[in-house]
Amino acid sequence: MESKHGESNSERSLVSVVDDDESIRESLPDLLREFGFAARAFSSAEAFLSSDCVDKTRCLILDIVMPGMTGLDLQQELTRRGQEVPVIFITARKEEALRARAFKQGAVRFLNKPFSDTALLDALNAALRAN
Amino acid sequence: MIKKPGPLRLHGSSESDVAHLSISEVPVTPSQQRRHKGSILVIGDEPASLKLLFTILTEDGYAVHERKLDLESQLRFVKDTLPDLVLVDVRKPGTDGYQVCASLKNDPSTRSIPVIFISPIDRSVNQAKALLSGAVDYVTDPFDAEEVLWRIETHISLRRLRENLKSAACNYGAQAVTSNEDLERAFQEIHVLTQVTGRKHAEEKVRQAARELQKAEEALRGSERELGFIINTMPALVWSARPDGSAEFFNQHYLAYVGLPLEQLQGSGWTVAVHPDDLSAVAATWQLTLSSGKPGEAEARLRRFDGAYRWFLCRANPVRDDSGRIVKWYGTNIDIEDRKRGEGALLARELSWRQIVDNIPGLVATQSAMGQVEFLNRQTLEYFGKTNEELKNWALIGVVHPDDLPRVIEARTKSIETGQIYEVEHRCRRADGVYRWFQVRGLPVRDAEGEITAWYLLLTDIDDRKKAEEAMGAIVNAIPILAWSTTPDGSADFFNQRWLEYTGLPAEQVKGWGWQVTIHPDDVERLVDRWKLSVASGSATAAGAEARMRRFDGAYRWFLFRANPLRDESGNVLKWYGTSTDIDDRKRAEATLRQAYDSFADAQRLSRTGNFIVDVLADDHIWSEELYRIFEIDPATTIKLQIVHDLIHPEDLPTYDARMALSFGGADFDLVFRIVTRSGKVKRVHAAAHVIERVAGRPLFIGAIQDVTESKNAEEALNKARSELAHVARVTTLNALTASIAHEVNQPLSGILTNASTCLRMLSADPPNVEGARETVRRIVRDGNRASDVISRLRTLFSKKEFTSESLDLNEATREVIALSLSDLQRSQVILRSELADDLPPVTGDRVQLQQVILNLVRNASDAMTTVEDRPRDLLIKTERDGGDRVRIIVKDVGVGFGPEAADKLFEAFYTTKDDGMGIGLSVSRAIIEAHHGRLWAVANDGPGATFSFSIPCRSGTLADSQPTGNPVDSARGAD
Repeated sequence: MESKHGESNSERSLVSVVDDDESIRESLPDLLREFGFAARAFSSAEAFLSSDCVDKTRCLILDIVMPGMTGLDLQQELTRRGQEVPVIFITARKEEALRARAFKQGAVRFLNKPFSDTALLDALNAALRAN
Repeated sequence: MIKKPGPLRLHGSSESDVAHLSISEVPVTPSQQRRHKGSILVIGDEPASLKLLFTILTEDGYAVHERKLDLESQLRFVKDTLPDLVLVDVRKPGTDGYQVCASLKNDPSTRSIPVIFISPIDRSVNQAKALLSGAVDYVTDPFDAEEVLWRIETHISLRRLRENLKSAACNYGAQAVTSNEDLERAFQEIHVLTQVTGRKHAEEKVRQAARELQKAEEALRGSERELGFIINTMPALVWSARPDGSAEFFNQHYLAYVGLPLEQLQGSGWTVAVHPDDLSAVAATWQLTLSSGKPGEAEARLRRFDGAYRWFLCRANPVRDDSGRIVKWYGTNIDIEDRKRGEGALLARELSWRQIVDNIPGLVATQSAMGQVEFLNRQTLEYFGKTNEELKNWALIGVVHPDDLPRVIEARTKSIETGQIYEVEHRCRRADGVYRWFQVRGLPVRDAEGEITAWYLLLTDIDDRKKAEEAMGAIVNAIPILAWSTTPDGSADFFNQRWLEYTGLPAEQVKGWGWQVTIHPDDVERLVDRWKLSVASGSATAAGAEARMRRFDGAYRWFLFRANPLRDESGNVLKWYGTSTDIDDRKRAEATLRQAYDSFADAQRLSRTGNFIVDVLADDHIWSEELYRIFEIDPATTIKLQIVHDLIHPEDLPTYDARMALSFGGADFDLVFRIVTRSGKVKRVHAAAHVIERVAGRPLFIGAIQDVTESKNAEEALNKARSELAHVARVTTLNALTASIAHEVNQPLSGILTNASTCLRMLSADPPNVEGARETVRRIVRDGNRASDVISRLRTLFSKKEFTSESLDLNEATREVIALSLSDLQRSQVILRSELADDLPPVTGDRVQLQQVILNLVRNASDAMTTVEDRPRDLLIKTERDGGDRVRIIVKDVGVGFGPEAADKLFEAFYTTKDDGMGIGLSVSRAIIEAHHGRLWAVANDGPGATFSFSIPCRSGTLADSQPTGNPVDSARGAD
């Protein structure tokens, strides 16, 4: 699995990370690349939507609480555009309401920060399977 | 008046009685008398009224005929039958009785028939006219039957006498010799003839004459005998006189009555028997009669043989020859003593009546049936200053006030027409020109048939009363009240001006019972019933009745109706006087007041406030409705201080008594206390009262009591809500804080974790990516510091308040905290006990921060016992000295406590045993205490629960050094 994702860069699936927290944007792409994915990080939903990665992204790791457009808003926007991408929500907040709403919108996984590398990998696999 | 006649008396039937007359005796028997009584013709229009007379005459032996034919047939009848006497009824005015009489007298064949007129007494015969027309006599009806019979008999007898004499004279050869004088004249003529015609012839003539004279004498003697008999049998005193008036004959009765011989009476001797007082009048009348040659009459007293005087009616009639010369006077004296006595009595009565009438203090008048003034008493004449004659024309001479006259005339006319009592009040002008008010009452006098024969009038001076009435009327009309009066039966007869103005109705319309139209339809029945009841019982409606009365403009106003009866001496109601008082404003005020009272009562009920007034000395209480309701006492109960006292909650009683004593001394009373109602309910009331008046040493205690039980409960409920809200807020805040802290801490943690995982993968790669691993470890360190910064900021957040240092009494600070938490503790059913040391020295520190710690410990203790149900939730707060220079506070609960493994974590931040807790409280508390150079710790109890204590030095002079500029969390961690 690891090899499959890590063999050739050109064939690597792109996982995009959208989080307003810098330490996540720094650390998470490195870990994703260790997993063999291509990774891009964006500081806001608006930044992601305006990039050229929207179509290429195979999985989206979304922080829920962000200034401006939230993660949930972004997912709805993509659904509205017909560009459905598997989404893994991550949040530092323990709020059941958010969790329920996220799943209702079709989230693949909902991870509370901090989360382990295995939990992330499991979520990514689930997301890509669904894809 | 009409007497049934007895058998006719036969006077002078004995020989001696007639002897004086030298008339030969003729034996007469009653039967003969009856047979020869004669015939009588009655002429008249109303024979029915003379029926009794017919009966009397018939029974007395007369043949009575009646005729009411026309004049001619009457005369023919008389001629045919030649009655002995004609009775002409002239009772009807306009009757031709006089004409009948005159006709009879003009006819020689009937001239000698005596005619008697009959007429009613009140329409008496015109005497002169009757006698001029030839009537010999007249009688008035009603009449004395006996007297009438005598008169009739006398006239028939006289006529017969005359006839006999005449025939005797004729037989004798003389022409119409009717008297001795005539006879003498005849002799003289004979003598002259003898001288003229020669002796022989004369002698023969004389002889013849003498023979005839002898015959005549014989006849005359016979006639005289008869006459003497008749005269002497007549019941009257009969006399005759020569034409010169000298008396020559008196019948036996006369002589027997006066007891004097004939000789003494002849000439003018008869006058000795006439009463001296009557003599001049009789003599004068007699001379007058003689000179007039007409029948005459006089009344006079004649002395009887025994010296007694009796009244007689003396009548004289002349007898004439054919040439009309008077040859003799015949007279009759009829005893009228009895009648006279009756008249005398009548006269005496009349005199005394007149005296009475003249002297009574009133004006009296009589009027004829047609209203003609007849009699006026002296007072009346004097008042008006007019004569009786003048006053007959009272309506024309201004004695009645011009303003009243039409009314008076109208009323007088009406009462004469209807025969009803006449009663008018009007003004009469006094002799001096002053008008005075009189009440004039006229009563009709009726005869047996009910016909009015006269009016009696009484004029009563009511001027004073009238003036008083006018003055009263002016007052009554001026007073600002509606006044009225009624007759005893309740029928209204007067309304004052105000009344009429108010209702706008004319008096005529509302008099009697017409006033009902002014009463409101809803009230009229009740009012009328009430009024009728008053009238029936005759009792005053002093209490009055209330009803609405319509004003002229249609508006109804409330009136109070009152009436009082005016009574006479025997208690009969004469009149009712009433007033109607406008009470509309009062009524409205009452309604407003009632409304206000209702509002007040509502307000009292809504605010649960009652008020009272107490006369303290009399122990007399006036309570409002609501107050009874608050105390749950029957409003019928008579309130006494003791009753209230008994309801005070025993625990509050001492205070209550003390305050009451003070307030009776003049202090204001203001106290919240509990009462225990009879139903066992405990109520908290707030009473405020004071003494407002001290009249004659009688204090009035006035005040209000509010039931504040509910508001206390509400306050508690509010406090609970506030407390819950505070808790919710605290929890919410902590939740938010927790979330915020979690977010802040999780971000770096998440980075650390991710970097560590990446690092491990890079190092385990072949070849190991050392440079990448180094970079990730560098990030881990950075994120670790970042997380630490978060915690530091958190600490700063909780201890950011400015630290102030002051000397404070920890007991006092504790009491304040207790006071703050009391309602929370009560709600949580926590039983708080405080043991605060008396000798606690002051400490130096931040009062608010220390109180936050105490509060935190108390709340934690209370919270720890929320699930405790099997034992009292006891909480002890205790202050005590800790050694020589420290003070300790202990908070002990019987809650869930904590196990040995938790003891170390208790004071760590974010550690909590509570579901909704965050665990920051104790860590912050410890930080605060340590800032005060103190120590905070917890111990598990031997029994349930835990004990938290802190100890601080009394004087922490180095407080500034421990200002939490550094990291208090670190020091907290250093503690156990």
